Order: sequence, then C-alpha cells, then structure tokens
Amino acid sequence: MQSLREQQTGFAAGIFSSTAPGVPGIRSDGISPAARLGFYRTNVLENYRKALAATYPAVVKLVGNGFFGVLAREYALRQPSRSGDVGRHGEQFDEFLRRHASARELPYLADVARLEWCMEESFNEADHTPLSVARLAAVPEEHQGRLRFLLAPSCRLLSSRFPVLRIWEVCQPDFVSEVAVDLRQGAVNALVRRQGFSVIAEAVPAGEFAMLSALVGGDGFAEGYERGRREDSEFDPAAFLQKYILSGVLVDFAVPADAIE
Amino acid sequence: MQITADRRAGADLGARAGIGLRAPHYREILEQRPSVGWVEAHSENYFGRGGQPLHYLQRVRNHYPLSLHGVGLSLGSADGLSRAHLFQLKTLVERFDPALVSDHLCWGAVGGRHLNDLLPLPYTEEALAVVCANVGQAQDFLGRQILVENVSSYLQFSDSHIPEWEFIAEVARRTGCGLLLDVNNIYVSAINHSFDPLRYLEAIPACAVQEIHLAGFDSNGLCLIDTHGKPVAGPVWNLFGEALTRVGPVPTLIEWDTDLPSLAVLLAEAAKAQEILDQWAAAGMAHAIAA
Repeated sequence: MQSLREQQTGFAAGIFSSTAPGVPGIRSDGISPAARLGFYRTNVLENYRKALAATYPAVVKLVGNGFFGVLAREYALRQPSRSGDVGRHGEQFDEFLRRHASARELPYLADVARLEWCMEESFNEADHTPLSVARLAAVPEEHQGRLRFLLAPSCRLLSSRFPVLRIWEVCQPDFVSEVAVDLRQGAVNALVRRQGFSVIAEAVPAGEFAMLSALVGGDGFAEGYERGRREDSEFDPAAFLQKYILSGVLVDFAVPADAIE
Repeated sequence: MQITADRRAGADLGARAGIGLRAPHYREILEQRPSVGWVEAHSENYFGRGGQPLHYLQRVRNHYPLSLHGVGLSLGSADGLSRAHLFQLKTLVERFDPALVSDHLCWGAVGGRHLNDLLPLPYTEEALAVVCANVGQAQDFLGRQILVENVSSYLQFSDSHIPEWEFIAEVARRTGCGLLLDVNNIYVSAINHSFDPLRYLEAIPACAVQEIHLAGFDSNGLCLIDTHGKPVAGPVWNLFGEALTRVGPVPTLIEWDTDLPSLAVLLAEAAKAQEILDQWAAAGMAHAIAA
C-alpha cells in the first residue's frame, strides 16, 4: 500500500502532467478515475488562471483572454507554486514570459508583467511614517554626505528598454485616446510606489533614477549623488532630497555609527 | 477536553448570520454598517505587510466580530505544516483577535509544491494521524483552538475505510479542535458519493460545531462542484434546518467568492439564514418554556 506522502506526490504529478497519466487508488463509482482527477486539474488550473489574471490585467489586455489562458496554463504546469497564498503564484511570470516563444512577437510583454508584479508587491507592502525633517535638519553638515537614506517599503525601481508605462497606460480599462504606442519612444526608468492606498508608476529622470538605485543598494548620500551626476551633469541633490521627501519616497535615514558623538 | 455548548468560542458570535468580507464591498460595509452579526475574511488575503487590505480589515474589525478562515494551511499534508505560513497566520491572529480561526480537512501541498486547492484525503488511520498531528501543531503554535471544515469532494480513494463523518469527528475528539460544518459541502459530497447527508449530521459531535457555512454549488454535468458563485440551493437550506436541530443555533456564514454579487444580494442571503436561525431559537425557547 502507498504511504500518504507517495499518494499525494502521485496526485500532484497527475494534476500537473499534461499527458494525464493514471493515478492509482481512485475509485471509479461510475466516473473514470482519470475524469475525476480531471475535475481537480480543471479547478487547480482555473484557480491559477484567475489569480494570475487579477495580478496581470495589462498582460491579459495585450494578449487577449484566450492566449492568456494558454500562457497561464503553461506557467502553472512549469512553475511550482511555493506558497499556500495563491497571490504569490505569479511571482516568476515575467521571467516565464521572457523565455516564452511569444516573446519574439511581443518583446515588451515580460517588462509589462514585471511592472504589474512590482505594482502588486507595492500594493501589499508595509506602511511607513514620513521622514522627520526636523531630525534631518539636526544632522551636522559634515555628516550629511554619509547619511544612508531608506526608501518606503512600497517603492520598486525598474528599467525597461520599452515604453512600458505608456503601454500599461493604454491597457487601462478607463483609457480613452489613441491606443497606438510608438515603441521607438524607447527606454524608461520607472518608480513604482504607493500614495495612500493607490499604487502609482511614474517615469523618473536618469540622474534621479541612478541616485535612487544607489540608495536602494545601500550607498550613502554622497556616493548616490556621484552616481546621479554621472547620468546627468545638472543633477541637483538638494532638489532631489526635497522632491523625494515630500512625495514620501525617502522615509528614514541612518547616521553612520562613527559620526555620532 | 470536553467542550460544552457555552464554552464554544463560536458562542462569541452568537446565533448570527455573517458574510464573507471581499474587497469590492469594503466601502459599502463601512458606510452602511449593515446589521450582520460578523464577517469572515480569508486569512491569506491579508498576508501582506500593509496597505489597503489590512487597513480596511482593521476598520471593519472595529465594527464587527471577525472570523479568520484559511485555505492554505494544508492540514492534511503528509509533509507537515509550513512554518512560514503558520507564522503569517499567527501575526494576523495576534493583530485582529478573531473569534474563530479555521481551515479545511484537506491537503494542498507536497514536496514543497503547493497546489492551492482543497484536495481530498484518503480516510485511513495514517491520514488521521497526520491530520491530528498537524491540527495539534497549528493549535500549539497559534496558542488557541482552530476549527476544521469538511470540504466538497469529487473522488474517493480505494483505501479509504473510515466514513468522512467518523474521520472528522475523530479529529475533533483527538485534538480538541472545533468543527466548521459546511452544509453545502455535505450536500455536494452526498450527491457525488451517494450517501445520506442526515447520516453525516447524526455522526457529528454537536458540541464541537462552532460555525456553519452555506454556499452555492455548480454542476459540471457529472459531478456537483463547490464554486461559491451562486445563491444557496433549496436542498441545502433544508439541510441547514436539519443541521440546526442537531447542533443548535451556531454562527452561520454565507460564502460567496466567485461571481461576487452586490452587497445587497449577499445581505439578503444572510438575512434568510438569520430568519432560520431565529425560528430555531424561538422554537427552542418555546420548547424550554413548555418544559
């Protein structure tokens, strides 16, 4: 007799095998065991398709419901879910799309998916109180360059060689205008963040993007400024600070231990 | 531990009908404050670290008692429970102090791969030991009793030799967990596997039942499927009445998760359940006075 673990392993294999092998130990009672297993396969794959469609509405719009169903099924069969929370199932969907044959026709699809996953994560991320400007003002000038700024947990940075923000925008249900997007508009650096409970994605100039990326990577303010200036010789660190503190992107900072008296 | 009727945690919710909490209804619920007894939230929908879902759950919680209902604990997994999942659930339980915490008599993960569905168990001594160990671990980790719910099933295993009603009753007896009796699931499985649903109800230890679920089902032409996308069917309402005569008036939830209707439609279903609960309570009182 099979152990419970063997039985569950065999059942899972039967669900995810597209060639539908028989799973031993299922009673027929008037309906073939393969058909009975098929009821579960239908439910499992449909759950995944729905969860994925809820996270990736712009991808659905770009490829259509029918082909999205095909993609969702292939993804579910290939990419094991690692969480009891079905909302995490879509985490690798952009990577899957990047390697998929359809990527040749829609090369921007994976980047649109990446944007939507960033938005999904941002939506559920931790809240944070705003940065204390008074505390910042109290930092002696000689230490300011070494401050390590923290971005709000809901912030995500992404770069694409396609105009993904524009593509995403024309996929929105309330979008009314010219839907053609000129792919030659080219690359975009985007910041995804939450304002209140709404997730917004906006294009960020090259210098600011370089500095934000540096800060996320743990660089101090002066190093971040150097990175920003390399991208944009006019880069203004004071304006950067003001903009991103006011918009709630920079929410905290740490003073290096040896700078504290 | 014997759980007497008035010591049931479900008693905190009273003999009231509740509704499932879904995001499209957040604002309307807070604006209208409908007179439902309590709300039930899917635990995993609130596993995020912040933002809108937790904010609204908190605001709704400020006005209504709460039940946290999970779909991803996988109490029947031979591999045991996921510590990460338990930890996230505990965080939620500590923050929202729900009257009830529940999950299902099923499995959903093996070898680190989740299937994110409510999959059937063989009713064997081995499976019983696995489920009891997992329920025990969950209760120890959470530091409280959980409820275990019967699921709809579309197949039976040839090595199953314990009837489901005896199996779930034994889980309650061995672990001290409560039961969440899903009357729709009993009906669906009774049709699919040709057993008498009343026999199921007869075997359930009444004092362990702390919540009832009602929902709508669908058919795929061969089997009834538990879809939670329709009004409660007539025979399920009848079976609900039968269940109340056996377990008494317990908190009852209208589950409607797919093809979500307007809040008004959901509330009308809950009102229908409340009416039946009230009839039962009135009849019970009359009986007590006569005695």
